[in-house]
Amino acid sequence: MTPEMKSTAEHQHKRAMEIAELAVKKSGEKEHELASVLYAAALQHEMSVVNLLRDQYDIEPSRSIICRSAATLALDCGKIDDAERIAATGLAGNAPPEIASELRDILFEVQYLRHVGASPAMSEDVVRLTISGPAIVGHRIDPEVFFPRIEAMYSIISRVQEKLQNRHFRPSSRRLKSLTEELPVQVEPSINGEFGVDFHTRIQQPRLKMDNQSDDGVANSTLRVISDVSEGRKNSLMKFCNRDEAYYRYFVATVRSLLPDGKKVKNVGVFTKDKQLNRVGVKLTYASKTQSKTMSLVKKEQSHVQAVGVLSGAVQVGSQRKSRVKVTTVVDGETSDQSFTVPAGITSEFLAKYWNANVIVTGISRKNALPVLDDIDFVQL
Amino acid sequence: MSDVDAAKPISLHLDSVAQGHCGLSVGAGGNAAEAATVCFFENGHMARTELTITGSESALVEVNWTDPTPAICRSHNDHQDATKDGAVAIAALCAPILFGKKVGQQSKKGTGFDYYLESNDGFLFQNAVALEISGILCNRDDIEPRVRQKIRQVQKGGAMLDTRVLVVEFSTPCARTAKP
Repeated sequence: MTPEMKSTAEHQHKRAMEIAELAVKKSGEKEHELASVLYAAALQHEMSVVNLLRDQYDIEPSRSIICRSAATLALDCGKIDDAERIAATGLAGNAPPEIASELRDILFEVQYLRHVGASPAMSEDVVRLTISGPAIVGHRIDPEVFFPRIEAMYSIISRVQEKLQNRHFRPSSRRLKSLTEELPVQVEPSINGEFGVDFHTRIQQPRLKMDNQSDDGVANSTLRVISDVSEGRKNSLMKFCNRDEAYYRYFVATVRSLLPDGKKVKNVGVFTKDKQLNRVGVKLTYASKTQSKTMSLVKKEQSHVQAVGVLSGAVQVGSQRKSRVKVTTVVDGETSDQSFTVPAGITSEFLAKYWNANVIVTGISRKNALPVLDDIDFVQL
Repeated sequence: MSDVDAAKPISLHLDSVAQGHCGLSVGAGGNAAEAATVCFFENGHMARTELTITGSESALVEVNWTDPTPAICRSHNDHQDATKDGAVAIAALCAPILFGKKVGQQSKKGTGFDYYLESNDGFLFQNAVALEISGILCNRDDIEPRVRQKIRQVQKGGAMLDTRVLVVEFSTPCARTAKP
């Protein structure tokens, strides 16, 4: 590259980033139309840099970083075809592994967005769950990522129905028979390497009284619950739960089971239609996991207890007093145990995947009593 | 007493970030500096705040700032975003002291930006050191786990790019650096 070309590339990239910063700010201020115009302008500047570096395979990591930047801006503009081309251009060079991985993530995002655009029309009583990532290959999906998420989704919808009926939280995981008859499930074949599952709920349920609190219906209420958890909106979810901490904990725990793991599953989408029949939805990303951590019920003035080790214990349906878990830690040959009580809303179904696994458990301290389980996660090795 | 404790703090002003003197553009720097003042303010700190940085690079700095106006507080009322942006301001402010270089480049990534220290080569990202920046609004106990998480993230990605990790915690306040 000549010095003039390098100077042009630097100037154009700097300009692109200045405009992109402003676009992000305007987007945060909900000025979406202006943000859209700004993203398009930023993309134009960044594309001139992509074109200058397109055949310069030895200028790495700059070439692939610029491609990642431009592909991301293309997604911000809604230009998914351009995003795909730019990401592919980046991968055609010698991108460092970490940048190559992010370029592939952009391709997964493109796949996901194409499916959202191409999906058959839904109605406002349908909740659609979509999953994309390396776990889906052609028409095959890894059952270990698929079935737990289907089960979690089915459970969330059932509990939303019960909450809308103003029922008390049931500790039992077994679905109510009356609700089972109202909740058929239809499975869609995969499209473009992605699986979609439709859950049909009904607005008009004359046999089941619905709470007047929500005009949204089951599908939109389900979407709202999932959005609240993934975006860390504690107050909104607590309001939906009518301050019932059992429902609150249940929804937070179960929605977190839906989230992408960042490796086999990159994106999970939940969609429905609102009363005006506009498609509405939420995209769950790996970052949603961090957001959902802010949903803890630990108050500022409370202290918490943390334990890392192997989990054991039991959840007794109908007996909160007997529902306990224990974390066994072995350090330098010495074994120690820390027990926690399991609060209402955390079901044995939710804890099943953690039994005998290495976990990190956080609990709310209590005077003269065992701490109450607040958060649990696998230890990241 | 450690070397950091014994030293006199280096006085820095967030205005220099806002005015574009620390590598960020005026727009980006202004936003980040405002966010940092909101983070300090929310934690009840005074307008001259001592911040201890430890880890692979260390320093003791005194960050000078002015109380955010109600309008600034309102525009940064998403604490998650404010903490992230505030940490970027502190990173830009302290980079010359910690790493001997200013923040030189940024690139769009996901919903935000990646930051790089200015490179000797000078052209875009050639030989640049990536800065993995993270912020914690109010939880000192979260610093070490966050640093470990960031190191794991960098190492899992393949780690061909030279990277430094900087985690800023606003309640103490303090920061940790690491070299994966």
